Amino acid sequence: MKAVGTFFVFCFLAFAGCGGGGGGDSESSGKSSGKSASTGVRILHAAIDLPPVFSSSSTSADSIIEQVRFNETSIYGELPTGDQVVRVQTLGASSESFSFPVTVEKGQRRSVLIYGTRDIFGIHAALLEDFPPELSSGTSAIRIVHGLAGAAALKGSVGGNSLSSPIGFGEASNYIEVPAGPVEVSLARNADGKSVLSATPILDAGTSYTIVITGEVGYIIFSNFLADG
Amino acid sequence: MVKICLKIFAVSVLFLNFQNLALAGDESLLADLNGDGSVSMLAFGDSITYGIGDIFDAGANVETMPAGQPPGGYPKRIASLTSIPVSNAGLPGEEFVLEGAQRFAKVIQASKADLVLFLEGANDAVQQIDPTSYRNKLQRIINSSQALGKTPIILTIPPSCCNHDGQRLFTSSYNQQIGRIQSVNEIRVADTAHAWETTCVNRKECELLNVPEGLHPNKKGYTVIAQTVLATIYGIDIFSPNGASELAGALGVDPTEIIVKPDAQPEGNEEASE
Repeated sequence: MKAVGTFFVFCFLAFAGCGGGGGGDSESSGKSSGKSASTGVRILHAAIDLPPVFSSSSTSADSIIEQVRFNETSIYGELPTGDQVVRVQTLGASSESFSFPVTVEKGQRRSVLIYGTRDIFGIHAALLEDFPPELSSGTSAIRIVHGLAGAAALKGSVGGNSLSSPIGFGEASNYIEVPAGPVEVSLARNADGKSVLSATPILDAGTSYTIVITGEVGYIIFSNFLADG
Repeated sequence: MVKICLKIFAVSVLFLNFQNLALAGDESLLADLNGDGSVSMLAFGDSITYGIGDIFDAGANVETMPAGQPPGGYPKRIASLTSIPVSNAGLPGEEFVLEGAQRFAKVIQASKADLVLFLEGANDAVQQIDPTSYRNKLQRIINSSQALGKTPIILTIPPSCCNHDGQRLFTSSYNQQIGRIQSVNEIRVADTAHAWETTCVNRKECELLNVPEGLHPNKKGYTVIAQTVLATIYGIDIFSPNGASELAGALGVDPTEIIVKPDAQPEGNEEASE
């Protein structure tokens, strides 16, 4: 398969999803405009050839978290505390389905990352723990979530600090504490150094962020910037 | 075998039509959806998007397509009828799964279009590309379009005939995949295959195609595609009894200029539908 130009689209979001792109208003066509719960799960849809997905909990038929399409992120859908199974599946008859047995405690937040491609990598899901760190005065924190097909691992730097280790496909880095304000973020494919993101977001003091990288190297690359709290 | 294929095709046409009916009454998509201060469209596809065959009148005897034809086809008609720019990104001979899906990424990122019109798959049918692969690539371009803030409209593939009759089974399968994609993505589909069903007088040698070549539409066929797409953009069910008059009203043309025929009405309903 011949490669075409890689493109970066960077979205800066606060808790909600990214339906738009290319620097316009981040209007979301998904159902991600509600209020995030303090205890719950959100969905990060990074699989470029997968239809919209939705999530539910075994605790209640009404516990549909949210429906999101590719490159969107749901808000944190509220879950009751206790043992349950969180299920994420695609819309449509030939649906992929993923289940995660979890014990939910008050104040606990998690993300389900849907990633991969149907033809080569297969579709996968990963349950990520969202534990933003306690921040010192005047600082922020960033972590990277790698959902970009075509890169087994990503390397790079945040605010001039190199990532301690490459981030595997479907994995998240630890939160990296940096001074608030503009911060340079640079990511590349670990295997050959091909750049996949170069951006300088402005971070609010006392806030932690997640950057979700989606799409496919050599096709289209998207970067979504989420405020985690 | 032929009967089974035709039944499958008929079921798929009914399914797609039902989906379109559900969309009737929606607002027009002719708006500055991406907020860049202008409205424009991108038409992506193969030779049928490029407009190959758009130099022959219905009834002409056409064995093969001559080289060196200028771009035209349905994009040119839509631009003319709406006065909205339509960029023609049709590439004759291109297969979607192996080539077009990859080219699409480059084209879409360079485009400022609000609407993306997509029609491709006729050449995949020649190579008998697996319909599941077609569906996965189609989902990819829908996802890419939406993530870039563009609204995709998918066109079903017009049925071929005559010298290209053999690929009809595969284009029918691709059209079924388009119906499934539509139902899970809540997108609009311009059902040109359905328009062929309602409008062709001779189903075996449809007069909307260049015959006996049988793959590329002629002037009349491209007009049918353009009208079907425009109705979809405006949220008009072109196959309803009032579809033609509604589209004519939206375009500001005489209703007799709309040549897409409505669905056949059950006996006894013709008077009620007037």
